[in-house]
Amino acid sequence: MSAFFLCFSAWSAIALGLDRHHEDVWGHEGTARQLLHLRRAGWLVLLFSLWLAARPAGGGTPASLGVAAWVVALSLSALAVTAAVTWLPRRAPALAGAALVGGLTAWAGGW
Amino acid sequence: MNLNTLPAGAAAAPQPAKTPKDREGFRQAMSWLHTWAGLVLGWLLFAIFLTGTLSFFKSEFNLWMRPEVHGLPAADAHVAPKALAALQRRVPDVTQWIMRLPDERDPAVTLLWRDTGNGRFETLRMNPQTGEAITTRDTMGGDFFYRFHFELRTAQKGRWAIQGRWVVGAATLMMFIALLTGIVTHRRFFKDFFTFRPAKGGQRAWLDAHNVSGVLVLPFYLMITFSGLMIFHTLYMPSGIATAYRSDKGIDSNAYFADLQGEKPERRVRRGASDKVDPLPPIALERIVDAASTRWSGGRIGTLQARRDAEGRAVVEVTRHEGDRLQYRPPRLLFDGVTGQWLEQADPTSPAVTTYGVLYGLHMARFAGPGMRWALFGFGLLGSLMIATGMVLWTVKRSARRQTPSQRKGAARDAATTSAPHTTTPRIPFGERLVTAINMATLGGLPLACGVFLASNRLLPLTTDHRADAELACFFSTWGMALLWGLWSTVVRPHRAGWSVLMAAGAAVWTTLPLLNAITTPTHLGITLPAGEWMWAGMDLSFLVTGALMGWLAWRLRPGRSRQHKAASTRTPRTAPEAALAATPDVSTSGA
Repeated sequence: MSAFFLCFSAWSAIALGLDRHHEDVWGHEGTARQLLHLRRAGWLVLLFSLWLAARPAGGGTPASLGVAAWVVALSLSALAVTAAVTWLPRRAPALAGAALVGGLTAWAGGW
Repeated sequence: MNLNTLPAGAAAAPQPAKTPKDREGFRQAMSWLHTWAGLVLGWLLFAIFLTGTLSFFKSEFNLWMRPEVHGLPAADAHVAPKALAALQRRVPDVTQWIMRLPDERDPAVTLLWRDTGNGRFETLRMNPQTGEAITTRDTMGGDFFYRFHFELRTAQKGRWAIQGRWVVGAATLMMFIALLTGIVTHRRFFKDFFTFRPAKGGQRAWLDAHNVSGVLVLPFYLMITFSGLMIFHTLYMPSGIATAYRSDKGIDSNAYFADLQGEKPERRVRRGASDKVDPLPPIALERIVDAASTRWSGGRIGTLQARRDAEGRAVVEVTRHEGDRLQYRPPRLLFDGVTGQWLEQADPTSPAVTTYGVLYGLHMARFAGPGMRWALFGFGLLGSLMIATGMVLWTVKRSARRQTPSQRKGAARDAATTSAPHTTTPRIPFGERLVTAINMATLGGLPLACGVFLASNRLLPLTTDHRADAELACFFSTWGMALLWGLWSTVVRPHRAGWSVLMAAGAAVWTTLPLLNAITTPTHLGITLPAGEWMWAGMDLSFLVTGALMGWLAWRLRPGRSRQHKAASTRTPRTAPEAALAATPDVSTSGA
């Protein structure tokens, strides 16, 4: 669960770091530096969520199952982000922020 | 795939250096390979992918198609000894049995047994509380989708199974090639990562749908095709075994399989039909079950089996439930049948075997809970959609390419000759029409045939001879008729209603399924919903959703719509159904 939210926000950041989507969302072009930062942040969050998923949790799920679930979440959230930038481009940053918060709470709550 | 995004004169334009040109050359070659590897076996791949996707819910289909199993009480801790006692009352001289314990996906105890008679295994389903046998209708159930997806099974008792596996293997290899070349062909892999522009219509939207459904779920596709190939590695690449397991008596492939399962070869007994085996002695099952649970610290037991080993001693093998770990072939414990004493654990842990087990396990997804299973199911649908959009793209691209030169001068003439509803462009080459016909039969006909298969399960009289095969006959004849219809509506008498009619028929069948269910069985929504039996209700509800989706597609593809669409958009792809589909916004996320 936390993997899905975290991946969603990560993919969103990467998407917002691509000039086409950046323009769709905010209506103007971002500077190269802004775009790069967004993409970097996205990759970092992705790595962070993988690390969370692979850590043998207290719940007893083996790391192999955790990583498999993470890969599924990775694809699912990428689909969700695609849908978001296609149909709700203006809301995408808010959704990404909410997902980041949601992901962290879910992780803290042990899901 | 991405030919259209190449600058028109890329090859002819003067290139500054040699390297980019070479790269373009490589990309073009890969693009060619991608197109043709995809087209040649695409139809077969679509069928394999779709039935494979349905197989994620094999147990649920098995249940739905055997409504007699409905309403069983939950099993308690003593289910195994109870079932064994019931079996022995029925078959006193049983020599071997395999017992599958009930779990959340299958409430009945399933027993395979054979006695001193002809040596064939018989199947018995029983009530987990009373041990009462449940007679179910004769059907292949979800196993048909499962069997079809890896060996193109066409009858209950398999025929041409090995040949089918070879064909599927070749198709899978093609899919793997198409995936890899697709990555190479995709020029702006990350730039286009989230790009889907349904509003642009036509080829652009189709290409986006193909790319998005292809790229985002790529890990799943690579995993599923590669593991699919690996599962039958012994069939496709036999020379490894032939080299390593050579003995005086020729090639001993049984030793290889025993090694793969972590078994000692001497424990593995091959029993011929005529061999005489003594009936099993009384088994200390209660003790064995307890011991196994303790050893696995509460892990679930999947199956139990009892047999005589090579020395004639009765042994009981306990296999852990498959939901407990990713790797296929769960660990097994071996017990002495009479004393209940633990003998050994078979759990191969060498890296190669583990890798193989993990790949196998990922492919089968037996580890997956409901959420994960639905996600994988959705990925499978997306994969089917990726193949489908690829196939349609082939025709859309050709029709677009053919039109661009003639369109400008033809625009005036088009307006003058107000085209009657039944005229299509007469100049579509035969090959393209044939491809469209087969597209229709595969993409529209297969879902229809699956629906008819499920309907026949409810409609065929229970006393029909070879009932399971009769259900399959319904499936294949529907599919055949869809092909005839496709040929009729594209090659023989071209008209625009082809896609729409097929989809509408599919929608009608799928939405009728819950109704048929309600008329013929007590497992319908009126009962299962209030009782909260989500496994049963979920099937009916999913059928309704499938029907609704197909109905929606039929509506989008209806013949009159393309003309309105034509008026609205600036770019006009000529093949009407494809244009209409392209305009459907969430075709990539919903799936059919």
